[in-house]
Amino acid sequence: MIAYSPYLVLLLPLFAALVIRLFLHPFPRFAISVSTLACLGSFIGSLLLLFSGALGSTVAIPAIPWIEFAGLKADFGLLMDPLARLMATLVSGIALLVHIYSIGYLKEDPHRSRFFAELSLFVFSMMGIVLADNLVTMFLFWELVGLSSYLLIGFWFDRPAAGAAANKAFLVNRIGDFGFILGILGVWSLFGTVSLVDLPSSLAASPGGWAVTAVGLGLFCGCLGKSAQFPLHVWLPDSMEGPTPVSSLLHAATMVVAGVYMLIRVLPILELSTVTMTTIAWVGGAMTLLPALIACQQNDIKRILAYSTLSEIAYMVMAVGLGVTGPAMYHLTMHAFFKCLLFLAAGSVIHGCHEVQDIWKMGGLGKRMPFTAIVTGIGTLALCGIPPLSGFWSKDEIFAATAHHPALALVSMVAGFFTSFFMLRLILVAFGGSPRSEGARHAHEGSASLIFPMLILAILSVAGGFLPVNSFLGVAPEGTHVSWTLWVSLVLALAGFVPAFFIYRVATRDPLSIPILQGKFYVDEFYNRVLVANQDGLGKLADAFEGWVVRGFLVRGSGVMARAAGQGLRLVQCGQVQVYATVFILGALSLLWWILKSGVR
Amino acid sequence: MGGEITLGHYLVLSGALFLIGLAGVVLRRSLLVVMMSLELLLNAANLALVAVGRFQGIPDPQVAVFFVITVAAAEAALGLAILVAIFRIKKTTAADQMASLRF
Repeated sequence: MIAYSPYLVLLLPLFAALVIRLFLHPFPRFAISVSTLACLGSFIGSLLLLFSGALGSTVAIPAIPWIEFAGLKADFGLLMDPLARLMATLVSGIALLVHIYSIGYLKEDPHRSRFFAELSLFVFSMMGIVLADNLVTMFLFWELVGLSSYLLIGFWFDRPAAGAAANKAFLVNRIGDFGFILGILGVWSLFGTVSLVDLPSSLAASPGGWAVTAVGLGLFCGCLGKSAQFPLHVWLPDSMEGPTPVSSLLHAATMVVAGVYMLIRVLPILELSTVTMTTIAWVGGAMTLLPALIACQQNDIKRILAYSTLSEIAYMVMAVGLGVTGPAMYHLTMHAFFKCLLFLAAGSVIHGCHEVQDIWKMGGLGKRMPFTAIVTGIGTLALCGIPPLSGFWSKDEIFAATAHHPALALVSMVAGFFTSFFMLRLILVAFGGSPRSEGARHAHEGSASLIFPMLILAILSVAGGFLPVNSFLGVAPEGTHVSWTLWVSLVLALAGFVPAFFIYRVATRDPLSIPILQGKFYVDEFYNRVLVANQDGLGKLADAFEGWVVRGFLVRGSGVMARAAGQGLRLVQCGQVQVYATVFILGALSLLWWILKSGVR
Repeated sequence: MGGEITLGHYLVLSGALFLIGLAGVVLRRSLLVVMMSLELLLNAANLALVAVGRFQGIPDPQVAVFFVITVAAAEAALGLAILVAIFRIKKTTAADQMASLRF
């Protein structure tokens, strides 16, 4: 029985979600305690697992038989390799901090029981992805994560924008998931197994060719959806309609990096095809720069961070595309720290300013919210990769990996320039100057439950670079430091601060106005015009067909026919018994005639 | 054709009776006469049955006739009872007035 105890790490949050949903809805205090304690339990369990056995080894956990039929075997098991243990610890740890933060952030919300139930459901689903030992189980949890993301974005479903954003996230993810499931089916048909443990050994029998490429791209499609990479990135900025702790946990630190995690999991398959790897690297490379450009002209504090998230995840995707998983995972971990921190700080700002999200309506927050300002600064330095903060170490390893791909190196380093630019813009506009709205004038720091998680994350953002992530993963540090990438990227990152400083130091409204960036490269408009309009046309056509042909002609038509026939035939019923008798006689006679006639023949 | 009565004669007579009955049923207005015509129909059939039984020397058709007579008696009793009941309501026995179940 003791061998099954690691399942607790996975099942505690589910248990919490169920208990809250079934019994604790009217008692927010108990709901919060149950949810947070379950998360704490998960975190402690993950920590124990992380340090159990030798670092870098795989802990064997018995699997529970689940699906088994001709050719497909998918047990419900946990894969406790170093990667999973690190990721599980990260997910449950960040989730725990966000739980604590949410206690203060949603203190006034009457529906916070529901919030915590959904949060627990999310933790359960995310742990499921992390610990899944085969692609089928992973897909199951993948969808559960999609569901909890939908629920949490739409937590304030009485706001139309939140409902729309939740739908958008869900629908866009469907597209990615469709590719993912095709990829899984492809893996099954090509390699005969969906188990992540057995996959590497069965790859030897790979047929190669376009099929492998297609499978790899299918799996990557799942990553495109969940990790919000081009062309499926449009849902992430909109998902900022959810409560800020959700943005922090799901849409910055953990859920959106599930795509990267999945790519790392299936890397042996991806590596079979150069086309796949090149595609991944270039999608990642391009996506480091594009969102960074867009973020320079956004005004919503959370959206700026959301675009920065897109950009940072793209670094990880690019690293995977270059075949270096260590730096990808390293950056994933560091990013979780500082991006979660930045979002929590943004939440603190929004909370303190009474729901103001536009940075141009803030200003002067540095004096009123000094702690938040400091942690935002720390997060920014870490994000921009300034040494010796956490982001520097991980980004440096990624840049080193691009050393032999100058184009990718250039694109991603320029992205670093713009990242520095828009982050300093955010800080100067929101925290510098003087207040530009009533909310900002009365801004104040939040309670201890808001401060504490930020403090922890700030420490991790500063010192995270010294965590032995590589030894947790059991890999040798791949970052043979390449000096030119280090220096070029660092100079570019620092250079980004300069124009931002001079443009936004005293600005009270944005002196720059670049429509194409404000319009986010018009991807949404393109989708609306081309895809949605065509879909609507198709829908209208189908509706017309259904309305006129199916409903009008076939369904209602047959009814009308029967009724008209009845109308006609009932004229025959004249009520005259002698007419009936006559008809009867005529009928009998014709029957007789017919019988006699055929009898003669 | 030496004045001898054959089965054919009986059957012709039976057919004639049947046709007269039919005409009565279809053409007469009074329901009482219609019912009498119905009796005529039954008796035409009876005549044919008896004649066939006699000329073929088999008893079976005659047995059938007894059934027909029984049924005819029951029919007359029931029909007359209904007729009386209708007459009490409608004050008429004309068949063309009995059309209240029509659409």
